[in-house]
Amino acid sequence: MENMGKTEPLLKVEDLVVHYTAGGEVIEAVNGVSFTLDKGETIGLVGETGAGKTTIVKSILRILPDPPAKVKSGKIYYNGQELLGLPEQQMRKIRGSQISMIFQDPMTALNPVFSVGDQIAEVLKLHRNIKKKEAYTKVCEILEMVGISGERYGEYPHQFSGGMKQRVVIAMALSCNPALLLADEPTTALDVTIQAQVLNMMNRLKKELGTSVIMITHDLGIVAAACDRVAVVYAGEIVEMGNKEHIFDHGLHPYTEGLFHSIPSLTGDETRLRPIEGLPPNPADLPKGCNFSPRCSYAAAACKEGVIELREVEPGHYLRCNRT
Amino acid sequence: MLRYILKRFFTMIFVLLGVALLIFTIMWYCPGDPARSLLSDDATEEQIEALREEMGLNRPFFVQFYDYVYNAVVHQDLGKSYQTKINVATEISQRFVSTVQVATLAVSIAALFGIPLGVFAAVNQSTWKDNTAMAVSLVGVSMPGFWFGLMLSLLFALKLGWLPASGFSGPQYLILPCAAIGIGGIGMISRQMRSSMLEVIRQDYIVTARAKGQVEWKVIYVHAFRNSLIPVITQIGSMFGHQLGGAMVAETVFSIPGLGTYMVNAIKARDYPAVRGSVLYVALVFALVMLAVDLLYAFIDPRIKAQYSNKKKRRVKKNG
Amino acid sequence: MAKEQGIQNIMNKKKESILRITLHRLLKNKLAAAGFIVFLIFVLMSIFAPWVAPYDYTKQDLYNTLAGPSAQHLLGTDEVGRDILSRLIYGGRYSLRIGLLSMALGAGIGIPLGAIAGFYGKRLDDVLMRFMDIFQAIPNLMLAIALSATLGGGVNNCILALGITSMPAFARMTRASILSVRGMEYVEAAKSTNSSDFHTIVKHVLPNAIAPLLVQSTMNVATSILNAAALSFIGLGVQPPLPEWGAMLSIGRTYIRDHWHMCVFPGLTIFLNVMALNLFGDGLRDALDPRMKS
Repeated sequence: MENMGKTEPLLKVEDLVVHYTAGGEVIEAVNGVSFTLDKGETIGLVGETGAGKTTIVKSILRILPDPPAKVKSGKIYYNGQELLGLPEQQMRKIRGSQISMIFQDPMTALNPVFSVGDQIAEVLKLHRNIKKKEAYTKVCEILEMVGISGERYGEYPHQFSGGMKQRVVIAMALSCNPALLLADEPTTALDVTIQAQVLNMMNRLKKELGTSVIMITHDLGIVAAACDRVAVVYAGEIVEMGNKEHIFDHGLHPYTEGLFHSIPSLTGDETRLRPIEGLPPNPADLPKGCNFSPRCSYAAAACKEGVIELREVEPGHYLRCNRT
Repeated sequence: MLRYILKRFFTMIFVLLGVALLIFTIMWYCPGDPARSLLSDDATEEQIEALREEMGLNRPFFVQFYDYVYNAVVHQDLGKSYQTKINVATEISQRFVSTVQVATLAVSIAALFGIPLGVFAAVNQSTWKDNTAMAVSLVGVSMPGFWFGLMLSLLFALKLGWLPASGFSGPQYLILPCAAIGIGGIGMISRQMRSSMLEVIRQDYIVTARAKGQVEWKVIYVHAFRNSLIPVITQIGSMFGHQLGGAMVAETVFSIPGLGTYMVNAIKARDYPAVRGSVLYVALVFALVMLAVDLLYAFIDPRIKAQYSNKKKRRVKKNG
Repeated sequence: MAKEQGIQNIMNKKKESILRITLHRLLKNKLAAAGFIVFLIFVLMSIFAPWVAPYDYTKQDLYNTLAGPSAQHLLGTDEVGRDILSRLIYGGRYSLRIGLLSMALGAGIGIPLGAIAGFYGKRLDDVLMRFMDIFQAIPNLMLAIALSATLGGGVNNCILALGITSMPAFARMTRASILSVRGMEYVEAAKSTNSSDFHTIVKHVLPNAIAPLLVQSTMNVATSILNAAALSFIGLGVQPPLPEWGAMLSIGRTYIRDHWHMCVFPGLTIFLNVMALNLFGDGLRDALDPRMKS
């Protein structure tokens, strides 16, 4: 799935820069991120906690907490329309109906004082001209679609288990059939067995509805199972991007290499794990040159200064590194 | 739900018995002899002793206590006032009306103004609006109610003559006392409301609401508000007790013939039945209010409601 | 060995830094610092009253009664010619003493009871909490009034009465802190490494419980000052001619029509004291809150 410009990509993020200001400090959370997404594609955003993945995705929906966070520069195009400059009223029409989000922790994502049915119905009522009766039926359908009995419309979030809650959240996100789904680590908080269930369900729905997905995860297994393309995020930048073969079979960035080596192998004889040395940089005080250079075993003098651009090293495979 | 109500009801009865015991014990150790103070100064020891026998003051503690509780529960008889010989229960219920009126109105004012003030402050956090609102609340909470009452009375009654300074025979007499003690309530409620709102606004489900495309004002006033109201409701209940106390002091300022003045006079005269009856009465009303508030709380928060209803059984089967 | 020393160093630094962070935040909060200083000034004024007050607070001057504020008597005189400013300064001794000591009493009884209830749980917890329920079923002021009936008037009885009414709140708060920490994993971890009960409480549970208790104590002093004034005002606490602020208000009330200065100043003093304490208490609570305010 190459995006050689035959059809306009569904989503185009251009040079996004987001800063957080807290207590006088400036935290450079996202530093010039660019990528595109085609219709029906799923791209995985992989990286450690704090790399800026959630910030990127929240910027698309423009639900960043405004006092600390600010989009400094960049453009986001959805179906050709620029989102960051859009008036709030129009942005609201897009949220929930064209672009939806699934959050990480299902335990706190639902409002405890409203029934799950009502919370799903709310999305429908906001974006479709729909009457109460119709909404009720539609919600029951949607619940069945995610594997929850429609009879549970009136029940409250605390009456559901973690996995079921996440299904409700997914139901809520997909109820208006959005073209783009932003999934922020949707299975991280769930048990492994439930994870598989939920992922399978998401894959099925994705195919049925033709939804494009940005999947944030730090689990490479999920990337393998659910994504078409991968973007590796480190310290607010995309350091490598390509399709699954590019990244899994011949990932070139030292960080990507490190990520794959961190996974213990079931074959072969492992006596020690091989973590990546060092810690991620402080986003309030990023290193000069390449952000990864302090931890990189291949770092050369040239890596410690200047700006290193994201370059296409083979068709569809992008790399931000001085090597090769 | 019914189980919950019954359970709370029984707890309430138990607590009230405890209150009766407590106040009985407190009065028991009160110095002074009621019989002695009732008779004139030249009464003889025999006469005092005879009166003590007649009043049943020589019987052991638990006999007197049992008798008292029995009369209270079965005959609604809280004894006769030593001073006036009138049935304590009758006198108290008359007097109590004024106190309750002032307290209830004050609580309502506190909620009516305090809740919006708190929300306003929370929504405009860290701006001058927030700081002003919180300054006002702080002043309200720090203000001695009876002094504020005096000042209000000085300004509006004595200097300007707009409102009456004392007495209690019409709605205009309620205004100053309620304002005096209500200001404390406004302060307390707005502070609690603000902190509750700030807590809720931080929650994930608020971000979810925005991500759904919901209008901002609905996110605040529908999604956040209902959740933040829950702790405030409990506070309003206990505030009623606080306002009852405040109302009792305000009666001194505004010469209102309520339970406060009754009780203070009774204490000075060692009128035990009157004091006991007053405390029990107030404890009963307070307990009923708290019960009502708890029920309201259970009604609003589905998590509590579900704990006590039959849905429990169904949930265990379906969840998997 | 060096490693253990290294870990110990880090842990010590952590303890220091929590204290330092709290103090730092507290000082940064100008209002809270101001509140503390104002209250401190009042306390110092009452301690050093004989040197600070311009007149002897009992000295009557029957040629100069009910005088308004003047150069000679900054806040005027009362109905027997005593200087109000001096009386207020000395009055601080009563109000502040009652406020601080009754808080200490309430905390001294309430905290251990709450700790026992929280830590040992089950029966003991039930019994103790029922006991507290009974006390809390009577509105605070009413209970203080009723206790005053038995105990009588005067400063010490006032302290006793108010201390008893404060006790349940401290007990509940301590119990709640302990219960919340008990459930946490690090207490289980501590238990699994065989630390004794007492050791667990002191090292793990108390530090967490301290923060809300400190705030509660500060607020409690403020409430006690208010309640003491209210009690004296209705004639039950400190009696005239002692210059307790509430008692002064109660006398002033009779003269309010023409000599309002007798009412305004005592009340203002109570108000300022309480507000200063509340400001400090608020600042303390914000400083101790582990989450950032913004």
